[in-house]
Amino acid sequence: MTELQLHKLLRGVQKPGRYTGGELNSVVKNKDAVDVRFAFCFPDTYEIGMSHLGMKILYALLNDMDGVWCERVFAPWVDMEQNLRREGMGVYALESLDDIAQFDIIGFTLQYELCYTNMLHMLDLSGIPLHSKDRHSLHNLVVVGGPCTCNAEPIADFVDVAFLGEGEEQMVQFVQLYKEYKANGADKQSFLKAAAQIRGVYVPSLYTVSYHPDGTVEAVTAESGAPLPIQKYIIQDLDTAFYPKDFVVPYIEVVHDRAVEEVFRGCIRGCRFCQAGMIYRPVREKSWETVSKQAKCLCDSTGYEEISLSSLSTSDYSQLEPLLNDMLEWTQQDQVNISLPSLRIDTFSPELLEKISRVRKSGLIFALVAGRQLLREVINKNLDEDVILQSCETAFRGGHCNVKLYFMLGLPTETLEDIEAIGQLGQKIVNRFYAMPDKPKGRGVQVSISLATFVPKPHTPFQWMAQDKLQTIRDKQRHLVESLTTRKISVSWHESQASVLEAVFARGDRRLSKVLCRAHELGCKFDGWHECFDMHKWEQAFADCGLSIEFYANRERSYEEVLPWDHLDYGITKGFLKRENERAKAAQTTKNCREQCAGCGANRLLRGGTCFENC
Amino acid sequence: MKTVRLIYQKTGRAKYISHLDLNRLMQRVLKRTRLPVWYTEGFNPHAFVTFALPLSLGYESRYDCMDFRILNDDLRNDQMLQVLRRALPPDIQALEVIDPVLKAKEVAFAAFELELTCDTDTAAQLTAFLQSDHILVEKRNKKKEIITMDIRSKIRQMEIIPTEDGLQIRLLLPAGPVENINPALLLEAAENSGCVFDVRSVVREMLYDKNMNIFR
Repeated sequence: MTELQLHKLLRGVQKPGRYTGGELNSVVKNKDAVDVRFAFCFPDTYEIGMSHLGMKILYALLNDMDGVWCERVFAPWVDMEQNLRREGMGVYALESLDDIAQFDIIGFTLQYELCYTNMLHMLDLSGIPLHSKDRHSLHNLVVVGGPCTCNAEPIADFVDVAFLGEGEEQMVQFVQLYKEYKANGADKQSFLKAAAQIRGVYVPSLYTVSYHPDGTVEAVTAESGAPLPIQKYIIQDLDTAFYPKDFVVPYIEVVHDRAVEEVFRGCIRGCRFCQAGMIYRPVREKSWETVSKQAKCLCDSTGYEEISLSSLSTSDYSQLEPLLNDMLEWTQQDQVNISLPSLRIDTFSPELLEKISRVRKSGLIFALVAGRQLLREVINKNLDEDVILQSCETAFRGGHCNVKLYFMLGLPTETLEDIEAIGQLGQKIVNRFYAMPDKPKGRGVQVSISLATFVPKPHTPFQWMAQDKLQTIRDKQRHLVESLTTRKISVSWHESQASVLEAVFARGDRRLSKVLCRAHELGCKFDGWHECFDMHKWEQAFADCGLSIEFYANRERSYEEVLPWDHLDYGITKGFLKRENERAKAAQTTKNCREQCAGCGANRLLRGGTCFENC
Repeated sequence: MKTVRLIYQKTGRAKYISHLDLNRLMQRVLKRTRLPVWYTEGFNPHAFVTFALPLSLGYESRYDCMDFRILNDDLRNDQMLQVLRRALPPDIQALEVIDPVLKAKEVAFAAFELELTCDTDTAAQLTAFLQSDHILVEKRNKKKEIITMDIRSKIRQMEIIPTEDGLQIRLLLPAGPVENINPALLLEAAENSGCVFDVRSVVREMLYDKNMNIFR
């Protein structure tokens, strides 16, 4: 594409900076001198995609490989889509401005279920056949990765390969193999068979699923010597694993516009609703020396004024104290702010607050998830109310008069009393503020309650549970708002219709590929955006395919049922998940991994087989 | 501490960077240079920078200025130019680092070069329109009221050059804090008069003070 064509294309488009590329640290190679061109697609807007750490890691990793050029692609917003159609163009990559149809491998990272239609939308805009069976050559191989592949079944008909687990090593092996097969002029089928032998590479077309008359899965069988189950790939040692030395620095403001340094993978906590806490096991930490060194390198190469120490629960990092002390040595001098995005409220101390506010003060969000003690025990979110109140007081003393609390509605065993308890807890926090003799003068307190809808996810102890019906969720939301008596507490929530769809696709089977295809034909895209989401179209798509939303979202499964993702092995065993589900029903908590091993099974993935010394 | 002025070009794909985004970009550029830049001391410490004249989104610029403060008076301008060159993205090129001669508010005129594509009839129509004695445009004043203004008398110089597929228009317009005329106003008026054309590019070529000295 020439500058002039780009200029014409972008006429009248909002935020043209989304579509132009050319940012600092973006990688431009000579396309005639590379063997494999990889289009790394994020099926959402530029601002969301450019905030995603996984993409930054794999982008740098692939571009470090000889003969490989990886470029970034994002979903065009509706105004840009119109312009692309007007100019007769497809979705293009930001580095070369070439259409993705020209690429060898087209990879999508699937971070949430509601982006599935965008994947189809992007392929379609570039005229690439949606179904794997309709793409006959090795060219335009469609691969997917990210958390959603832990149940890749709903998209199984579209993708050639799904990567299970972590990509840093597996991706290199895969692309290397592709390079060899491409050079030899091999056909797609023989390549897929060979690729299936790489750990964590799932080739859906090599597996057949049979169903019972009631629509549940009967069995999954493998062909051509493909492994069964397929085990996810993990990095053994994060200290020696690849990490980018620089990030592409966007021109326009993106959601997370900062440097990100990962401190550990996995989570010791075992909250029973949390998929990330299960599928990223076992816990593996980077040493604090590596974290500080890599973080400094990133800040120097990007010029970012903020670095986020990322993990599922950063205050659980065992080396946080030496890390922060070491980092403050250079961050203060360089005017760089440290942000800890996932703080647990029970590890929140005045000292920690002081350290993270040294350069600039940022907002505080605590995930409490449930309002009442009993329900927190059911979900294994082990937080005492006293601790919650104490930590809020710490925050107030540190000058943070706005605290944001995150809760989930529709959790298993939840009653209306649990809902009221959310408001009551908010009230207790407000009271705590006014009970402080030395409360900050001249400023009131504001407690913001943000409500999500519980979505039962695969590979969690709640994977068998039914989701609340839409009307029940709405009643609960209204009940909470009506139970509030002060304006010091505000409540907000996301569209819960979308959560229903999320529940369907999170635990869906292969038959849903038809529904996705139909929804795409009906024009569904950007389903995570309320301005684009249209539930009527989805209802029509389900009706047209003869499938029911309730079957997937609102049905409790028995332990005997073969679940559509049972053949995908994420380390944690089904026995462990069952045990945890039973403990939830009995409101029994489970200790965190550091205190006592719960025998989840993920340690089998590690060389040596132990995560913690007390295993 | 001394104030220094970076003179740079913003061309190619960098024209899609808005003024607000340019501001953020320059913060990061300065950080990457590791120059001893002066930071504000408020709640949100940031490098103190001043742009001579903001540029509209979609325009290129061959001469733009940004001032910042440097803590070490001994640093030479050419040394700073070297590190800035390395820290800037490819479509923003550092031309010079100088000790400021004029104050930012002394910008008074800007020279533009506009490339339009249109057929020959429209080119003639457009030329006649631009050469008429009065060109009335609607503009919001500082009180946000819509006023009608004769833009013709504001154009200090105008040159219309026919090209292969349209027109090139070179303009000298008032710019800066006292009076600022965006060439988009003129193009809008031309469109409203019935001319159909494509704007291929708008390039701000130079900045001047009230005596037509190059802004330095």
